[in-house]
Amino acid sequence: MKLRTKLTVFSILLLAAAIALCCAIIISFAYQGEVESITSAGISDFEDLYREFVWSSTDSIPDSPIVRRSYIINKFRSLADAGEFVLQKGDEFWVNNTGFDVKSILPAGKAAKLSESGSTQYKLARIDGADYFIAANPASIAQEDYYVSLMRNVTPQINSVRSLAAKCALVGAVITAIAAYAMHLIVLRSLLPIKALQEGANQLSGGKYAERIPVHGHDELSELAADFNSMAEAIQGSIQELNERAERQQAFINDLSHELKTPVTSILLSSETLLSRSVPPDAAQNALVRIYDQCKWLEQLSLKLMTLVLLQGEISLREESVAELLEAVKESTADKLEKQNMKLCLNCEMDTLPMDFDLMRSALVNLVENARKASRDGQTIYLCAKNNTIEVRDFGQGIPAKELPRITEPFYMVDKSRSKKQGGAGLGLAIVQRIASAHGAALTAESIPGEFTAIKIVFQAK
Amino acid sequence: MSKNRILVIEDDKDIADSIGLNLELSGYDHTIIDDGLEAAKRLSEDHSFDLALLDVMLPGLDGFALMEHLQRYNIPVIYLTAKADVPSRIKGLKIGAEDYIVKPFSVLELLVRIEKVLDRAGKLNKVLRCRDITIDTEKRTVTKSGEAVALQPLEFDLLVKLIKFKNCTMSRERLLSEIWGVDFVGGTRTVDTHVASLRKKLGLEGVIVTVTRIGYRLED
Repeated sequence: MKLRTKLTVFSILLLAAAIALCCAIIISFAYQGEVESITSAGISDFEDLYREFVWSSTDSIPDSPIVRRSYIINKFRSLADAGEFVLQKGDEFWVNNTGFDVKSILPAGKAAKLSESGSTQYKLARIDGADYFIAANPASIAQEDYYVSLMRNVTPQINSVRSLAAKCALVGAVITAIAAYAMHLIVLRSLLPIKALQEGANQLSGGKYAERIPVHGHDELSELAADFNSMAEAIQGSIQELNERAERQQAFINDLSHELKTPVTSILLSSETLLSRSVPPDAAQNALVRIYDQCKWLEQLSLKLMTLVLLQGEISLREESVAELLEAVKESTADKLEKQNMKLCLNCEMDTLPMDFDLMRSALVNLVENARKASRDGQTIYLCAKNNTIEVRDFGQGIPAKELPRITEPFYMVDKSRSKKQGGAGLGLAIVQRIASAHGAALTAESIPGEFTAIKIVFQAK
Repeated sequence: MSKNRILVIEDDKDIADSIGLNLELSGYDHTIIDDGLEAAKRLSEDHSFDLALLDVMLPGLDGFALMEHLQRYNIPVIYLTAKADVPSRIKGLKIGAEDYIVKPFSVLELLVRIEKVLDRAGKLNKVLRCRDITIDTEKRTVTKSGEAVALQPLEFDLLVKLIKFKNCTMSRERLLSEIWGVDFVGGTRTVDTHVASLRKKLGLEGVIVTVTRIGYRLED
C-alpha cells in the first residue's frame, strides 16, 4: 500500500471512530436524560395515583364483594381516567385499558423506594414495536391484595432520541466524507515533495548530477530535500573531481605520447637514412650522434617518468634538520655551479621539518639546476629557509607572467628549444610539485622577466 | 633546369637536419627555418620555393597560420607533424595542404610524397641529370655526353626510378612491382638483366652498385 493511501485510510478510520464515539456519548447522554425524565414523571404520576387510590379506598369499603368490586373499580377509574393505569386483584384484571399483562412483563424491574407503602417497581420495555414505561406496586385494601400498575407509551420520547442518533450518524458520515476528501488533498499535497525527491533520485541515478530539487517551506520533507540537494552537490563534486583527474591523466598520456614522437621520429629518420642511403662519412657521423643524443634523452625521460609515477604513492616523513638539507643541496650542485663560476648562497632560519630527506634534496637540487640554467655565468643563486618556506631565487632571465601558471604542467617548457638543448624534458617542476604536495606543501612561483625568479616550497604552519 | 627548392619549417633541429640530409642526397636544394614568425618574414623576401615541409607546432606562428603566407606565393605544402588527431588532419588538408604526414614517418615515403606533390604542381624537373647522363622524361630520350643512347622502355623506366631515388637502396621487389607492375610473373632475375643492360649501355658499372641480398643503388 502506498504511503499516501495508508495515511489517508488510517486517518479517516481514526476520524470516523472519533466521530462515532462522540455521537455515541452524546446520544447516550440524551437517552439517559430522556429516560430520567420519563422515569421521574412516570414514577411521580404512578405514586400520586397509588397514594390517592390507597388513601381513598381504606374507608367505607362495602362488605359485599360485588359492591366492593364495583366501588373499587369506580374509585380507581375516577382517579385514573387515562388508559395508562391497570388494576388487578390477584390474577384478575379489574381495570385494564392497555391490553397487556403488566405483571408478567415486570418480573424484575427496578425498584424505587419513593413511598412508604412498599416499593415501586419500574422499567422501560419495548413491546410490539412501541416503547413503554412500566411501573407497578402491590396494594393491600381491606386485607385484600391488589396490584396497581402503570403502562405508559413513551415511543415519541424514545423516538426523538432515535431520530437524534440517526441525525448524528448522518452528520457524522457527511463530516467523515468531507474530512476524508480534505485529508486526501492534504496528504497528496504534503507528499508532493516526496514525488520531487523521487524524481531527483531518478535524475541522479541517471547520471544528471547537476539537477536539484526545488525546496519550499520548512517542514521535514523540505529539510530532506535540502539534504538531498547537498548530497547531490557532494556527488557532483566527487564525480567532477574524478572526471578532472581522468582528464588530467588523459592529458598527461597525450602529452607523453606527443613528447615521445619527436625523439622517435628523429631516431627513425636518422637510422633509416643510414640503413638505406649512401651517406657521406661526416653526415653519417652526425646522424649517429643524433640517434645517440635522442636515446639518451629518452632514457632521461623514462627515469623522470618513473620518479613521477613512484611519487604517486605515500612517502614516510621524518623530522630532519633543514640546515643539513640545504648543505646537502649545496654539495650536490657545487660542481656544475663552479664550472659556470656561480655561487649558491645559503640562509637557514628553520630548525627541523618532517620530510623525506632524499626526495626533498632532489626537489631542491632540481630547483637550483633550473636557476642555474636561467642564470648567466658568475651570478649568485640564493637558497633560503624561513617562515615555513624554502625558496630558491635567481636573478636570471625570469619567466613571463602568462607562462607562470603553467610551469608545473608535465612537459611544459617556457623555451622549448633552449631547454631541450640543456637536456630538459619539461618534467622537473612537475616532479618538484609532486614532492612538495607529498609533504603537504605548496609550490609557488614569482618572477619578473629579466629580473628574478623565486620558486617557493611553502610548508603548512605547525 | 635547376634543382627543386624545398623549404623545411621545423623547430626540432635533429629532425630538420635529418630531413635536410635526405633532401640533399636526393638532389633537392633545401632551406631550414625553425620559427614560424621568421618563416613568414623570410617568405616575404624570398619565395621561390617549389614545396614547403611544414610542422604544425612551431614557436612564433603555428603551421596552420603559416599556410596563408605559403599560399600567397603558390607554394604547395606538406604538413609534417606529431598532431595525429583527425580534426587536425582534416583542418590541415582543408586549408590547402597537399599532404599531411604524421610523425614518426619513413623518409622514403616522404621522398615519394614530395615527388608526387611536385609532379602534381608541375614543378617536377622534366629533365634529370646524373653525371654526364641527361634524361628527358617527357620526350623519353637519354643522352650520354651529348650522344643519344637507345634504351628499351623498361630500361628507361628503371633508369628514371634509380635516378629519382639516387643514393637510396631500392630492393629488387620494389623495383619489380613499381616498374613491371604487381602482376608481373617473371622473377627478380628480370631486374638483374635490365640493370646489367643499363650498366653496359651507359657505362654505369661503378655507379649502379649491387647491395648484397637487397637490390641496387645509384650513387651520385
